[in-house]
Amino acid sequence: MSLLASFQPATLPADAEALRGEVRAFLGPALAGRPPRDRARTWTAWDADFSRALAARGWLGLTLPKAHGGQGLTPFHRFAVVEELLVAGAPIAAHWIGDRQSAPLILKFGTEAQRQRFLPAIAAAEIFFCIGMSEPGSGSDLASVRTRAVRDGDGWRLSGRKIWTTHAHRADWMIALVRTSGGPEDRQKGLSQFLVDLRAPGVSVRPIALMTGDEEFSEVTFDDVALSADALVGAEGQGWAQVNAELAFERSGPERIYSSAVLLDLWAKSLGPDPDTRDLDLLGRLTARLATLRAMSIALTARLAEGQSPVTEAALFKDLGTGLEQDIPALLADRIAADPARAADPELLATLAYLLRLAPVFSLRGGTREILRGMIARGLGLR
Amino acid sequence: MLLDAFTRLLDGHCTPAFARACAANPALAQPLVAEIEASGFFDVLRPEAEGGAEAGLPALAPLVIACGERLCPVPYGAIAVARWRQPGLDPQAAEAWFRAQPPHLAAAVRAAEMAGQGRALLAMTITHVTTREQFGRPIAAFQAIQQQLAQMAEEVVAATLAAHIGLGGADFAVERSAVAKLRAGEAATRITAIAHQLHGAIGATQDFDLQLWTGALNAARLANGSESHWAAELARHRLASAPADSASYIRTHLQTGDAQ
Repeated sequence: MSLLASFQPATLPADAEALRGEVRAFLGPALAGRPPRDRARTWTAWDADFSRALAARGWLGLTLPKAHGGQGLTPFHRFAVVEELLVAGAPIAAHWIGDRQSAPLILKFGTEAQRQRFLPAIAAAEIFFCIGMSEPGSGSDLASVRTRAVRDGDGWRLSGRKIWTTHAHRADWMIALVRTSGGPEDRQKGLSQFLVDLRAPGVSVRPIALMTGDEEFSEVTFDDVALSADALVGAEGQGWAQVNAELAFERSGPERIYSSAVLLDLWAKSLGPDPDTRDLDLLGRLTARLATLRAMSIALTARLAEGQSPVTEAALFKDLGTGLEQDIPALLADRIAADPARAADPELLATLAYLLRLAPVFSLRGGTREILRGMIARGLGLR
Repeated sequence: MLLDAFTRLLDGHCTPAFARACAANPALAQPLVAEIEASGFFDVLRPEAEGGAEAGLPALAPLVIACGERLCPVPYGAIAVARWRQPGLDPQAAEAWFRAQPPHLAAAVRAAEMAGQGRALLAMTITHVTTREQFGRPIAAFQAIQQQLAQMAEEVVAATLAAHIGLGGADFAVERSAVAKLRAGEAATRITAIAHQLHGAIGATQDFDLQLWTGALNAARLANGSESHWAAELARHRLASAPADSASYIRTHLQTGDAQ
């Protein structure tokens, strides 16, 4: 089964590991005083200045060629830097989508002019990206998107709506998956990807408040937006294949295992010298799962470094990883709130409360659990 | 290379019928022991200067996984480790030496066998659901089946990587074995349950071979310490270790070895 064979154990090369020291030295003072409940937001917390500070140190666009403003390094280097950022709870949402998948997409499918325009700007944290996929009527059934771009002279005119777009109300540009021919019944055929300036006339963006209190998603409306010819990314009609090429980047990384790590570490630190056996049991089980998932993510990073696109493997990893991310607050809640006579540490409680509210999203964002399992089943030859 | 040659050797012997026969009469495994001995695979960890392959403990993992996958009746991993530490022991003495070692050695080897047993169960279950028809089509066509198989595959991959962590160091370590055996034990419960659920009644019969593997996985889970034992061992080691955060602890103590 090639699905299993892709998970060959791998380790980060020494020069990738060596990046950690500098990153830690920067993060210590930069995040001092940031409470755990805020650290727990990591890649959902937007801080443009923080992203620019990372960019100034060369930690964005690590895998982009130097000619395009990057560092010319490998996915292993990116893994090391990103792992440090996530574990420290750094606010990295602003550059996150662009650095993780828009830049690799533009590098792979974009024209040289698009690369020159956007890649150095992404690596410098001058332009922040979001991805327009879901629509009000197209969630898991992404191939049914109705937002449409129609030819208008050399360019295009774009109309429709995107929803659940992460940080669209703060981002500068969107890469949108839209229909350029046929109708929703044509499914994966006739879809294309466009670069859309979110400040262009006809674009309106409405943030959506989550039950956590954060505004992480938005709804974006396109009302006859004029797009120039060079807004098209890659080939017309190849949008579906191009989107799929992004998915291995989107689903294989350590952000699919560390969303609750700040809570886990805060709780572990709170255990006294002679912990309850139930606490020991839970800490051991969660640590074993985390170690195993980390090994899986590094195995997939090795596939990315070889230029492969392990999309099904990434789905498998993400489903298992987000399961751990959800179990951490669910299981720790029982331990943290165990004693009716003694209130838990307020910071621990606040971090727990936040993650309990956010946790349902872990297995929705980036592809729902049910869709991922369907992909795995296909990879196993079942469909 | 190493793995290909080894699986070819095993495949010449290890059929379900062989597993059944050896369970009834362990002496029947002797020809396989002799062939592994002649092939040099018991000495895979020994230095090249002494006639071994000097493969390193991480390279043992795929070999032991292959044994578990085929229900190899020879305790290959135990003998190979004993030969590495105590050169010159015959297979029987090597096995006895290994049994006298601290339990984390056997736990790591056992976990790798379990990962292999899980792989075999996944393959058998895929074969079953893609051939067994109900309601006029293979039951693999139903989402309820697909979703369970996907979870089964996840557990098999997790057990496999955990096994690679268990044997991932230059030498055995309690915390590595703890991850491997604990995660393999958790996976075993889910893997055997899904395998039987998707096979239906036929899978619960004596004659159908599925039960050989689920029985082996159950027995392996009960051997060399169960999940709660290793969870506590791992937690104590973690709390006694310097790096405060989970990721640093894992990076320092619980990485896999490199693929060979």
